[in-house]
Amino acid sequence: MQKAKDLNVIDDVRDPPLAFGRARPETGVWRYAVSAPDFQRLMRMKRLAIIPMMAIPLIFFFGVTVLFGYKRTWMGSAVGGGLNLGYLLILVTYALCWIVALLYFAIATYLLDPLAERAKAYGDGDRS
Amino acid sequence: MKALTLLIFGSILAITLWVTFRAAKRTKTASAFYAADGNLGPVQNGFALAGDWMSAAAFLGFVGLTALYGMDGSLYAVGALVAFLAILLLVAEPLRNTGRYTLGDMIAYRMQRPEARLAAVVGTIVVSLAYLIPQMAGAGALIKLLLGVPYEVSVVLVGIGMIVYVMFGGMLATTWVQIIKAVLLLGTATVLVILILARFDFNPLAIFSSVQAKYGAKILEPGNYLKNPLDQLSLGMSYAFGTAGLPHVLTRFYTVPDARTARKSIVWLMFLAGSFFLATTIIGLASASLVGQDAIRAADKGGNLALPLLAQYLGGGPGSIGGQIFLAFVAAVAFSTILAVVAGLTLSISGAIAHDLYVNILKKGQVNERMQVRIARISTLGVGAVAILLGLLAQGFNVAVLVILAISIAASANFPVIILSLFWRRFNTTGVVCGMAAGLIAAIGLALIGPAFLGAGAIFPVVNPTILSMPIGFLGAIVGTLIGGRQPKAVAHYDEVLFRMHTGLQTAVAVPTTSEVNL
Repeated sequence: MQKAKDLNVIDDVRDPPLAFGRARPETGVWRYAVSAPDFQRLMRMKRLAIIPMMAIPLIFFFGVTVLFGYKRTWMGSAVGGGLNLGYLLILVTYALCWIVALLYFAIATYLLDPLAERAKAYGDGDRS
Repeated sequence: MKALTLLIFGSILAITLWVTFRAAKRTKTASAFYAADGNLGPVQNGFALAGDWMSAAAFLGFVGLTALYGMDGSLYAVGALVAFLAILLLVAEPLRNTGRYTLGDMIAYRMQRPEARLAAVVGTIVVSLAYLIPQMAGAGALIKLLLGVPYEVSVVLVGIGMIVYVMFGGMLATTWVQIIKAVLLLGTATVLVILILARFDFNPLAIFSSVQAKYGAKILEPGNYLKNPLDQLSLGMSYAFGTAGLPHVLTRFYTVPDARTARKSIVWLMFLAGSFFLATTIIGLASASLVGQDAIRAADKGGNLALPLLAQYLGGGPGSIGGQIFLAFVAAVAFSTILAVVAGLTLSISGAIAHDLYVNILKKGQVNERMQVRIARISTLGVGAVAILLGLLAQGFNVAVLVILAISIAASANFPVIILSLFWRRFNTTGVVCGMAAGLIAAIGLALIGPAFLGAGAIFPVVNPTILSMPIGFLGAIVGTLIGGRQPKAVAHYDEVLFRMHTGLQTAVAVPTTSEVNL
């Protein structure tokens, strides 16, 4: 593997594969790489997984902050066992964050990573 | 009690210095100095991230706020967990795949322009300094309260500590200091929670009832601390988006070998720090119930000593041997907490100065390995000296305002630039510069005309400016991009960025400094 001279490469950085980027940087090889079906699939799945997982807890959390701002007495109303509605919502926020973290971890590891590997193999020039 | 605290703290210090000594032997290259050679495992980085994120503000501040103001303190705490959703889902993995040591690396790789890197340098330094100064001042005030050591002495000692860790041990020592501190802090919290629950028949809900019985239902309602309804929302926004713009948190993802490890480490963090934040609510309410708000206020108006007082109470009360041991231990842990956080911040600032500004912008990457490490060490020394000086000057000022500012600037200047760099094809260098400037000016300007500085006569009614300054930051970035016009080469380059960012192709991305200038 040759060392790149014109790049600010100091340690064991691997050169980009010859077919991509460095050989003919302006010719749109990367354009070709990102329009490959495997990569497109990866992007679709990522959007499908990430957007709702990001949106649901955030909408919930911002909803809680708005309620905390404007419905203060309601938030103080008891829901049983010494707990009030506000604290119940806070506990649900914790739970939601943890559930999303585990869910994303599972989806990313078992679904997105293999897709990324396939897309990357294309970029590596392994596709013969 | 003083001697005991010093003894416990002395042993923590001895362990961390030994770790630094070991790390220093391995810190010979720039990659080792800034990123621990990208060799950390998910658990290590997860604990280090948790150590970074569970600052003294979280440890003492959340507990104090909850003790005195009830639910608003708990909202702060849960916000600190929500903060990591955006990092986990949007930022960490792409960032890991497109940079090497600093935030500037990613921005420069995306934009291929030195101006873009410079904007990232400004964002990094301003945010990290705004975060660092209150930590230094907090350390000074805390140690003075707990041990009677003069403010100046504590600030200088903390400063010297962080300089030694970072200068000699780089990222490796910083990481281990954070891991040690995280273990100590989590251990302390666990013991406290068990002791608290033992007093309430192991029924956490009994704590709520007891607080309510003592102070009335109002204490468990929101709005006791954050009076303006918009404050809650603005605080939530700062956390949810600002954390993903904190350079010292983001650089932690360069210490792991790949995106997958980065992801794992965040999940570790979310469970470790998340449980800790949940515990601060229990500890805070318990200290209101057991120690009493009057005693907490008497010790410190802001409530920052609620946790040490509770520890003393649970150990057997003031004067008892158990109480003294507990108080001493908590004080020592609090001090090591501050040390670990300031070390991370110092490393992030000196990375921006040495790696981004000197090596890449001024010298265009033409600096040999030995020189790079030397420059990094010199800039650490400089940053440390400046931090000590500012920490000394900050005495008597309301430094809590700076914490709000730090995270607001991160949400308003850094976050828009990071998100648009990663996800918007047309985003360009003009956009980076304008977004950074707009967010920075808006956050600082709105804070200056807000209640934090002007009190009741504030022109802008919300303490935390994020609710308005973040949209201004995004607007600045978008308008700047449109002004900058179409840059076909930069737009085409996005394909490469996109591909590497999502596939992790060639994870240790070379930063093409020369073409940064040529393009």
